[in-house]
Amino acid sequence: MMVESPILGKRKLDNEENETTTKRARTCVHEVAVPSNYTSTNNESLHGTLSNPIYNGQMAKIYPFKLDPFQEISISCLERKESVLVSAHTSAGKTAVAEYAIAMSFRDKQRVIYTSPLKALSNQKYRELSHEFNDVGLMTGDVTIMPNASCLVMTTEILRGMLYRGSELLKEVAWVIFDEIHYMKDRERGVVWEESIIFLPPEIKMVFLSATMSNATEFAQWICNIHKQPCHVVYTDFRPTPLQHYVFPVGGVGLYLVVDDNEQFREDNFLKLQDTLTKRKMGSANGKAGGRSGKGGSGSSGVSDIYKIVKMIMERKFQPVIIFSFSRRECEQHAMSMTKLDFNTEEEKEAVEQVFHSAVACLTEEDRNLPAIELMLPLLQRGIAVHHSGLLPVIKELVELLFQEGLIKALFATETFAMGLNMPAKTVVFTSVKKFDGDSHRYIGSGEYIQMSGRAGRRGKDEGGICIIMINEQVNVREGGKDWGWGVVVNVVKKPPAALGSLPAALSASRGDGYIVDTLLHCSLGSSENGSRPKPCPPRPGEKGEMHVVPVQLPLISSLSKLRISVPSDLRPLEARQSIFLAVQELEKRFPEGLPKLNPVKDMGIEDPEVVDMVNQIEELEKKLFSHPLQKSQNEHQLKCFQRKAEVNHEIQQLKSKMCDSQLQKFRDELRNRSQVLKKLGHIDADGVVQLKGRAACLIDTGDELLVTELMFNGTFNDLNHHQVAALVSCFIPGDRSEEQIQLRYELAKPLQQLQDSARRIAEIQHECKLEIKVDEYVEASVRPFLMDVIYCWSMGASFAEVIQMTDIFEGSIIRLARRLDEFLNQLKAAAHAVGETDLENKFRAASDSIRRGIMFANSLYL
Amino acid sequence: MRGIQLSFSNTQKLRLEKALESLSSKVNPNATVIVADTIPVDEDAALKGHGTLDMGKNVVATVCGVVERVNKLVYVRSLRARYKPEIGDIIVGRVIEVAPKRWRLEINFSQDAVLMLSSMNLPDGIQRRRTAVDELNMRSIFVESDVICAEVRGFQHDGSLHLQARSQKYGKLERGKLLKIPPYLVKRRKQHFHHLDQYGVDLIFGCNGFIWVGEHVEVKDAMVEDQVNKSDPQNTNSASLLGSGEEQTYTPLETRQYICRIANAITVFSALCFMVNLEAVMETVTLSLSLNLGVHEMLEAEFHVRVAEQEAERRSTSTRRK
Repeated sequence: MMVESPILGKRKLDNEENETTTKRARTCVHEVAVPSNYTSTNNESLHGTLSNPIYNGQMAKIYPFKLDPFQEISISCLERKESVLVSAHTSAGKTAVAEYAIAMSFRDKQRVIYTSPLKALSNQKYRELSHEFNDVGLMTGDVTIMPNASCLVMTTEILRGMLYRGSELLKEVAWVIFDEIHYMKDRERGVVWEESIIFLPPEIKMVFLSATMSNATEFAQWICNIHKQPCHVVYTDFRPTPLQHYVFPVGGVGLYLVVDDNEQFREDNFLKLQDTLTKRKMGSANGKAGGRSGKGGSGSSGVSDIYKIVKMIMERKFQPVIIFSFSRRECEQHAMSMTKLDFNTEEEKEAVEQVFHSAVACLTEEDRNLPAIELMLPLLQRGIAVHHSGLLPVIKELVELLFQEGLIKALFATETFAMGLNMPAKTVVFTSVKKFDGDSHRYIGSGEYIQMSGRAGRRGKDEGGICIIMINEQVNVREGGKDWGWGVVVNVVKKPPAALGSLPAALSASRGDGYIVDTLLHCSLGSSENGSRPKPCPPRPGEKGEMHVVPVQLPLISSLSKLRISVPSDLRPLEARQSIFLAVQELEKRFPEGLPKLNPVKDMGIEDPEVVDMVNQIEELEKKLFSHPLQKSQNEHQLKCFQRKAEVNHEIQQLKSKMCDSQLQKFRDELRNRSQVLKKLGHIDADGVVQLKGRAACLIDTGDELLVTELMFNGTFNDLNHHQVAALVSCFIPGDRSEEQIQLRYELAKPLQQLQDSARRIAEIQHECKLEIKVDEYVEASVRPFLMDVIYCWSMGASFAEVIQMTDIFEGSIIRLARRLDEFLNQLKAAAHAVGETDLENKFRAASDSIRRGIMFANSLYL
Repeated sequence: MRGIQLSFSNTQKLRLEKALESLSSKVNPNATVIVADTIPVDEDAALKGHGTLDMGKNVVATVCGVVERVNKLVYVRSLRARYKPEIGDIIVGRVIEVAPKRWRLEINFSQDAVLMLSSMNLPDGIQRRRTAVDELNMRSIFVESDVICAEVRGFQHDGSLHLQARSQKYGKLERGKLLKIPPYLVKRRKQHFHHLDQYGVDLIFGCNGFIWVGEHVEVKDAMVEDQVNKSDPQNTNSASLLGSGEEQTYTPLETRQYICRIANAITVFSALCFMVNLEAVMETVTLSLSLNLGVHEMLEAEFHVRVAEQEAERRSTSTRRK
């Protein structure tokens, strides 16, 4: 059942600030979702009203700068002790709001939790916050520092674990700050946020920090519904450092400014850009090699383009620059292609070397000589660096530190660099506008673009940021628009008496998908005279009309005629327009059957089989329509009845589908099916009370708990030694896939087979219980043997250099997997303890100990 | 009949024996073991769980109980043992000590349980760090020999058992009676809190064998409200009626009698070693009412026999139905 819909108050705040320095208003939108029948207990004189929060009391934290309106409103919401969602650009200053919440908790002797999506981000945030406050702790899967501190930085997973286990700490928490809440849309991990938010006790209020998002209001309503408390939304698209967006056509010569720093779209430049692209298209049409060779093409010519751009940026002193590409391999390739460039002075080089050596000092002698580390130094010294998730964590953090110190001038990064910590550059370059998201190559979303382009422009250092997009050919064909050059006679049937209007439609493809067509319409005389903005309407029959140019949205035009009328070049004089009207009238006389329609196949020579098909279909349908007996009968009443019937039928359909789709019903069914699975596997008994097996499964949350408990209870682990256990268990940890053929030695192949069999059995049981699951896909997805061999050797004592030779998976990914594997093994150990099987418990402990060594578990530089 | 210390007349004895005879389990007697019994294990790959010991060739039991098997795991579920806590259990306990930042509770476990001040909801219900003042005021919350209801939170690293009282439904229990029965007679179920509306009585089955029968108190917790609704749909109307009445400073005689009647019903049940659950207790109470027995008469031999007979009949009908 839906809970009563919250009332929404909405308002917009404009605060014209310092008109002399900046023309743009620092606008911010404040909304609040309030549960119905909610009455606030706050004192209005001190805190303002729900829809207009103001705070006049003592501030918990004094800022050295004047707060932006959005910060002020957010803080007032905080002081009202109400949840708030702050949605703003990265550099706008969301952290100030978070810091205020922390300061407030310190003042009130309460605890506060700060969650971030990634371990690395938590580390960075911990470092940042411990500079600002003195009582800060950190909890991630790897490290725990001062777990009793008043302000705890942790990953969202840890918070969820605390909620499930009912940690006593939560009794003292007043605020939870969710950073980067837009992570919630993540396909795999989003559920962690959802669960954490749902299970938070209602006394704990939340602060959500998010990059700009479109459905902020919806989100607030959701919070309001589940926690029965008001939730504010403060949204601003204010950007402290304005951005200039340039486009660089691949293989082209120059940059085109498409959006200037006043956020004006420069159409003239855009047209010029299109021009060059069309020209290039013509050129490439001659030597049409392979239609979709966009990717391969950018590999050869694109690199040199990047070289050109980077060089130009350096010449114009636009550094530091971040160059985003969407593949880790591409990133490295680009960086390698910069070998000829050197951006650092001798002093800077020395500084880099010093930082580098102190950073790798935490590694063993042997690990320091790893190619991944050794090869990095010369690159770093020249002020060039790579940053992506596949790097060794040490290198990644080193690059981040050097970048913050300004010792890196050109950073080649993937998307991951755009999240979280404030690491802006002056310039941001996109090497592509398409990315591979696991399923398909798609254009990056506006949100992603905003997030990444937001890295451009350092607050306080640069006057503006620069954002360069490299567009390759395919994009242009799509965006440049079709060749709309043919003349069309627009036949506007919606206004039947004045069927006319003709004009080579100047199509202005606005930024969205709505095309606007300028049409000449026969309009009533009077309409244009009363008031400044006449509403065009057709003249009544017999009345005299006048021709006017009216912009019309494309869908409003019902059909096109194949006739073309020559239109005078200057339409401003009334006579010129009137002459067209006459011409159209003349035409109507000549074609008493009605004006012939434009046939896409015959008249325009379109040969696309899809279109031809469509046209034939339309013709057929029209024929059917005309031949229908009702077409001739003019009995209005009858028609109305039919219409009514159709409507009712439609309504029935809709209600039915609503009923089926009703989320709750669906959830209930699924819950029933799922508990049936649990019953069948013996996790819970017939009354739904958790049994021993279920208790063991409860202790595991890193991997597939059903599968692993099944393995455990079937004794698969009993025959294995602890190296094999580590290798087998690594199949549960999600990670990168490898294309390489996996050849396993005998001692691993057999357990793997058992694992796959178990997975299949579980999938089949789930299938029996009517859960939507494909058996093979489940087996495929839940068993990932790509790093089995690697982990096996590592556990047996191989060195890291040897281990990375065995696979094509990135080092960083291996390390991430190993760390999660350790976490998983610890959970298994706890599960074995709960069951009472000491042998197994010892085996898991030994497995965990055998992988915990060396560079894989080296400490973060941030700590 | 083991624990019953009553003087039965000859006929009563016969009837009771007959009833218990029909109740005695016909389950595979091989499943029950005593200490040092060998447990038959088919393969080497078996997992040896609680209550078992691997003696090289064979697996032996270390406790008396019933052998349970889950897939390849073998373990012995002990009978008539002390309470063994599991995370999430709802327990009733008695405060035995107020210590720094914590209370110690007797819960029929091999050690005392600990309830930290920080895992308590403070009376004002706000979220804040516990201060020294709160610590000094601990006695205003619970003192020695108070009866408390709480939830098992888990074992600390040092092996001590920690409790928590994380919502309003937990906390001090007043105006009622605490019963101690063997913990194995209480089965873990979804619902351990019961509100018997027709008697105005709350009944809490602690998993540790401590059972609380007391006057009904209104809880201001949305979560509990929901669960009450689920377990007994007709409750809701009158529950709110009760709450709207003026503040009562004493427990009415009638309610007291009901409390005792229910408590006696449970005593009889545990004396007969029957599993205690809501349905059985309610049935017994109804039986006593229909027989027009006084509260004290419930503890006499005749009622024990009647209850045993009723139980025997109930089970035979239910098995027949199967």
